[in-house]
Amino acid sequence: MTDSTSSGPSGPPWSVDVLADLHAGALDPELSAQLWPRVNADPEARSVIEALDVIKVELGQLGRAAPEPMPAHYAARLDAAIEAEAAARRGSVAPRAVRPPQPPPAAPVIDLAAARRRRKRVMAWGVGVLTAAAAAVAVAIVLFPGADSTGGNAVAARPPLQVDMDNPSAAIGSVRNERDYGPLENQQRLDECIRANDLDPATFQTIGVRQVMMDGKPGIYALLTTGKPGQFRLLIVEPTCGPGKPGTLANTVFPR
Amino acid sequence: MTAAASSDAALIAAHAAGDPRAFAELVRRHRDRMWAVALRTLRDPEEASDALQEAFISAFRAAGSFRAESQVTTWLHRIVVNACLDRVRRRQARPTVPLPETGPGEPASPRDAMSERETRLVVQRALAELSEEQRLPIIMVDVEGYSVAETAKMLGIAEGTVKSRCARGRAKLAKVLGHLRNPDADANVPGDAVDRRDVPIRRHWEGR
Repeated sequence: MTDSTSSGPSGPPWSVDVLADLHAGALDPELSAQLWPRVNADPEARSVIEALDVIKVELGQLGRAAPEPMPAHYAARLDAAIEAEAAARRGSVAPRAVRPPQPPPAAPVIDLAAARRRRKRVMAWGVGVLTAAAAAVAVAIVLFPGADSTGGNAVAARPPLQVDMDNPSAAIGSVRNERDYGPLENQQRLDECIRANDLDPATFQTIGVRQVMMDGKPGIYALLTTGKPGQFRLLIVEPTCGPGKPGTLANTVFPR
Repeated sequence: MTAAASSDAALIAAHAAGDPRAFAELVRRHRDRMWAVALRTLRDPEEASDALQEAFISAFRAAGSFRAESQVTTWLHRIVVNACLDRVRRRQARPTVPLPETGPGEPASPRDAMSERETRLVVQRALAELSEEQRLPIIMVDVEGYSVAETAKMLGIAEGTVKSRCARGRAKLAKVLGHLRNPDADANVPGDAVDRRDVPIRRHWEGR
């Protein structure tokens, strides 16, 4: 800076931007060293620097202030996401109850008839899975007759989620944030269905909804809030659910 | 172990060891503060909620790599900030969609005799008047307490740019919040948003 700029930004009248740059350490060190004594000697410039100090203090107070609570519905959504993640981890770590028979760790000598019986059981399980899968495809086609094979209808192109009646909470992660109403079509009709199940949609708000197959039956899985942070209601209903027709397949609180 | 009585680090260790309740307890402890961080950064509650979910899930998965020498809050804070900045970048890559905020030039309300909470609200509203370019470095440096160097790294810009954007942002805030005795001293900030008043001098000398 030179005196030739005395009417410019680096001398009275001071530019607030230059003072702010100086205050933030954004200027060349040599220029800063020249400016500070002049700024400190000038009450007007000094008052700007002090105002910038005040701003920094106020901004710091924002960060240190006791936070407002996260709104309950967002907190519930977050809890559901974490629970779903935990359920997925449990699923990948702990074997589920419904599994094909595992071969024993060693190979004990057993009689031929027992071996045949066991092989039949394994085959029956495999056939059952294939049958269920075929049924799922058939139901998908019935439920979404307009779906084409080009992926134009993303929801229809996706097979219904398989849900285990004994462990419906394992599917939470695949339902949260979904808006796949299926035959119920929209939130309004889902709310009517929720009411038909003696639940108030204002309290039991929808976190996610998705078409499912539960033990071979088509259903609509609604993940709902309960009004209590960290707790959810899992409501699974028949696709025909509506006023006077609750069609309840499962209605449970999670965690219990 | 009783999750509620454990330290954050113990909860992380318990979670990494397979305790199914440990991480939920950690979320319960920190979600309000992290929510405030996300909301400040993104301003849109839906986006903040999504960013927080992403952040906590990524923390859930990365807990095994947490190193005990750092604070859990610092670790979580950074994950949340990074999740928010990712969203800001994605938002910037899309065509501009105006965000809800107080209109430009809308005067900040008089600040005399305000409670601390009201003051915070006024400052938050003033922050929303800054461009994203100025607001983010200011939030990182002045609100969240990151160094200029850390902020530069997280935002992917030069340290000098962080300093100058902070400088311009603070200058505008000083003007909008009515902290300047002579708000007309600079042409780069709007003059119609000024509630002129005497500045309460609070000494907060920093290294310069």
